[in-house]
Amino acid sequence: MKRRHLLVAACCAAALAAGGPTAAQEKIKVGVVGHFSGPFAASGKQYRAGFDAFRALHGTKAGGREIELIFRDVGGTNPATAKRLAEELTVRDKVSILTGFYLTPDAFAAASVINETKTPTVVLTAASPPILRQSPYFIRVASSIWQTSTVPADWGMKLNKKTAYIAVSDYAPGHDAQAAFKHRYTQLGGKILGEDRMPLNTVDYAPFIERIANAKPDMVHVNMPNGAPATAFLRALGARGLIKQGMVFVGVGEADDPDLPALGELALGYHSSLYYAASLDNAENKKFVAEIAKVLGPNEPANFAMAAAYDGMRVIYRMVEAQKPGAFDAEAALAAAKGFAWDSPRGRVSIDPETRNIIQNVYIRKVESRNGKLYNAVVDTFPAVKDPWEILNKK
Amino acid sequence: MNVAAFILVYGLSYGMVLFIISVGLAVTLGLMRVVNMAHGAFAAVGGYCAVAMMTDWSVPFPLAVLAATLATALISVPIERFLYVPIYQAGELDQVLLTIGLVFVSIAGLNLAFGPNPMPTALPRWLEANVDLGPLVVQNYRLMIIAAGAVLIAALWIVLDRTDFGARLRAAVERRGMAAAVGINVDRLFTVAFALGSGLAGLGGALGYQVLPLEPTYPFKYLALFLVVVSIAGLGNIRATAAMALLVGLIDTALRYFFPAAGAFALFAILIAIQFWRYRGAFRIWY
Amino acid sequence: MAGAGARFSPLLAPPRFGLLEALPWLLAIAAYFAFPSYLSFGSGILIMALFALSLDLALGYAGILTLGHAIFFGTGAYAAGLMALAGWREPITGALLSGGLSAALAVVVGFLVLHLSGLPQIMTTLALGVIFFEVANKLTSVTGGDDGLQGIKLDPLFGVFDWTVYGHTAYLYALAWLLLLFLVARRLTASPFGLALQGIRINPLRMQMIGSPIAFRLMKVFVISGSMAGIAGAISAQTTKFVGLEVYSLNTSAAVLVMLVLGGLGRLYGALIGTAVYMIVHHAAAIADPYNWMFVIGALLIGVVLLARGGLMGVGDRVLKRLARRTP
Repeated sequence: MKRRHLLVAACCAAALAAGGPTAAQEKIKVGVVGHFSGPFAASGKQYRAGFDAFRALHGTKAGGREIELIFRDVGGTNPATAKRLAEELTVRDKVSILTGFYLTPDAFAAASVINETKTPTVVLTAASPPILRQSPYFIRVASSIWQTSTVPADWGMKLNKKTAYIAVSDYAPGHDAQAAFKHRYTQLGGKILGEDRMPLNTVDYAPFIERIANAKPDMVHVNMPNGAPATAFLRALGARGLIKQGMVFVGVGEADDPDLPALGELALGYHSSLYYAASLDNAENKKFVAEIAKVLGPNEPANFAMAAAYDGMRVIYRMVEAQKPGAFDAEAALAAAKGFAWDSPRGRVSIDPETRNIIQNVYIRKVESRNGKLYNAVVDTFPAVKDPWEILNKK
Repeated sequence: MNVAAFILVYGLSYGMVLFIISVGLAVTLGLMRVVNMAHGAFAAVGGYCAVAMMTDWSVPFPLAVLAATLATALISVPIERFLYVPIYQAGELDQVLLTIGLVFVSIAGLNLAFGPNPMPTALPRWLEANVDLGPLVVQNYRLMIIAAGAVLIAALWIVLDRTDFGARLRAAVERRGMAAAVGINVDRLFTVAFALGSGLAGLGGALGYQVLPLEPTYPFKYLALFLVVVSIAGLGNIRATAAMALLVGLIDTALRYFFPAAGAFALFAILIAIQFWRYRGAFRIWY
Repeated sequence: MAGAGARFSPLLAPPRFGLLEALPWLLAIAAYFAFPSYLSFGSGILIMALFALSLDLALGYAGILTLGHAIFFGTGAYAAGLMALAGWREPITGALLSGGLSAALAVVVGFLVLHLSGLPQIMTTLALGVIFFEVANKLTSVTGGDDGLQGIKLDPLFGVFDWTVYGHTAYLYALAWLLLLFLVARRLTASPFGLALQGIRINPLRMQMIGSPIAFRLMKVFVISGSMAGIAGAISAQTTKFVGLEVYSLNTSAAVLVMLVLGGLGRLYGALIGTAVYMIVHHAAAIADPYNWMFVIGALLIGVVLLARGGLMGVGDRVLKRLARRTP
């Protein structure tokens, strides 16, 4: 009898010890500040798809703790709203980690809140270089503009394109792209024939295309937001037939896979410099693309925002896995993320522990046609690119 | 020489799109004295209808444009009856507010029906093809717009200046009571004129969907542009509207070509200057 | 002039502050205690209410048709932000100086728009708003462009109350400003000056004939309205510690107009009620379905113009009248 009592007691003790601090099973809340309505609504949908794909493949738990996502909508160009949402998520909803941030101003505005509440933040696609210096809690997963805008310079010189023109939209990322490309291109000995900042409210891009045509450069670096501006620009470009004449246009995300059906054949031959292409040939990407097809259906191709969200969720899981039972430890989360290296659908990537930016491959893609369908093919790879802006502006 | 030809052709075609859309606003605003902020919504409806017909049902371009114009004109009739008639005699503020409300409703409606992304903008082959004009290679599309605009100007002038309908319309606007007393059915006339104005907007939206890409925020986005054209032209004058639209198109294109950075607000500065000049009489009296 | 336009309000002497009038203010204070985690949202409502109040003076009372009132709001915001960044961190004087700058701006703008009326006036104010926006967009070194003004820090209010992310100080600060300027507006509109403004709105020709100095009166109210809007902008910059380009956007000018009209023009309280209702509905709808709230607002606007003359205040009036008739 006594032995059985002992056994029961031992079991009880063991059970208590195991189930003990229920905090170990506590949910971790992650706040997502994104755009789900307004001009950038597509990005919100893409983020959600990336998150869903990751959670379908890796489960909704990390380190034994359930991860809950709370979504908030900025709704348009309104950094003040992004800041308020970050406040609400941290103060009212008590999230442990923040993520999202499609636009640079959103990230900038939220920085002070993040610093005050000491919330680790996984920035997805906001691409301006100085963002990471606004808060020690920022980790960036997509890219810095300098990573994607200096590679075209390297690639162009590799192909002997000695003269270039810069055509960017007149807003901060456009200015960044202009500075980055110009710096690298002139460093390599290239000649810039002209630089244009095209107002965002431009309706008819024909005048700008005409200026480029008259300058007759070997290559053109473009940086414009997705959607109506990029569409209008590519239309005017196609109408003038400059790509067919042999001029090389290298942009960023203007002619991404989801936009190609609407753009049609005018986008053929358009190059872009980006850290992801749905056509990338590695095991992780194949899994990713298949999962995206399940989440969004066969007609929505995978794109960079989804890949960024996928990788962002990976980093978040890593942060949570590194937690000890008990309250959320922001410093431990950051330490776990810094230096973290993994196989992403984009290839091998890692978080630079010094700058907290991502180190990754940058690909030169070209719009080609396969079986009557348009897609971005990878024509060149620049491996393990660190952020040149950080190198240039070493503190 | 190349540059001049470029600015001429592109400026004119852009101006023509502006004209075709804005002339409808000139009709409602100028002739009927209604501040119609929702004019862009009718243009958007026309554009969306045309593109939807071309993409989903493979309707050929000219037919799609025609059908879209008629559809827009038809849709405008109940809207005019129920929403605009009550505010014809109301103050400008009421008209502005009601029509802004209509803009909001239309944006939400377009998003619901067609989604938040811009509509595909592929052109039919014969319009996409380029033609060599010597100093310039230009898309047929651009030339088509210029031609369509010219035809429209002539047609409108004939209708408004040379027909009974036009005379009756102008009478009804000037002296509504007197016109009614003479036996003119003012209500019906206004409905027809409104349908004409909105139909023209729809035509402009359909023809110009390459120049002004279609997305749900279209009604609000380009509103300022249409209002600028009509304001600079002054109220009601169709010929002035045509001249001003073309001028705006030319100036805007030229400015964007020579001073890319300034293009954004040069137009609005011009508007302010013109308004100030035009009403300098009031300024002198008041100050 | 029926519809959404203001009724003629023949108040001359400022009546006593009745219980019904005190209600909104009591509600605001109650909200401070009842919703401690919504304080930054609440501050936002108070700031926009002040902005709408300033517009009511210009549009509701004096009949100045403006789709560009964000010019003053934005200038106040950037002025306050830049002052703080330059080192002047005292909030109250910062707000007052920003208001002063906006007032000066109103004088200049006034010369361009006040002699106009109708569509030309609307268009000119709209065009000015666009120009301010584009200029702010261009002057990235001053305004920060898209990224906006970052890193604004303020000294504690009265040297004691800290500005935290939880928004306690911000809420009460905004509420105090709103109350103060509301009392100013109330005094102004219930005076002979206020009567004259309404006369100018209703029949400018007759006012001229009786010798009323219209230009001077309009300029006076426009400057007061502009400075109030500037202070609202300054408070916005100070409490959110951020200034972005949207403070100058057409959306902002249009939104504040909609808020005011929904509440009721020319009633002062219309500005407060309309703003609160609009922003709360927007917030709730944004969480539920971000796009379709435009349906709601659009329909409300159409409804106000066609049916609910005088906005929510008008509806409230009719309800009260009906209740009064019932009770013997």
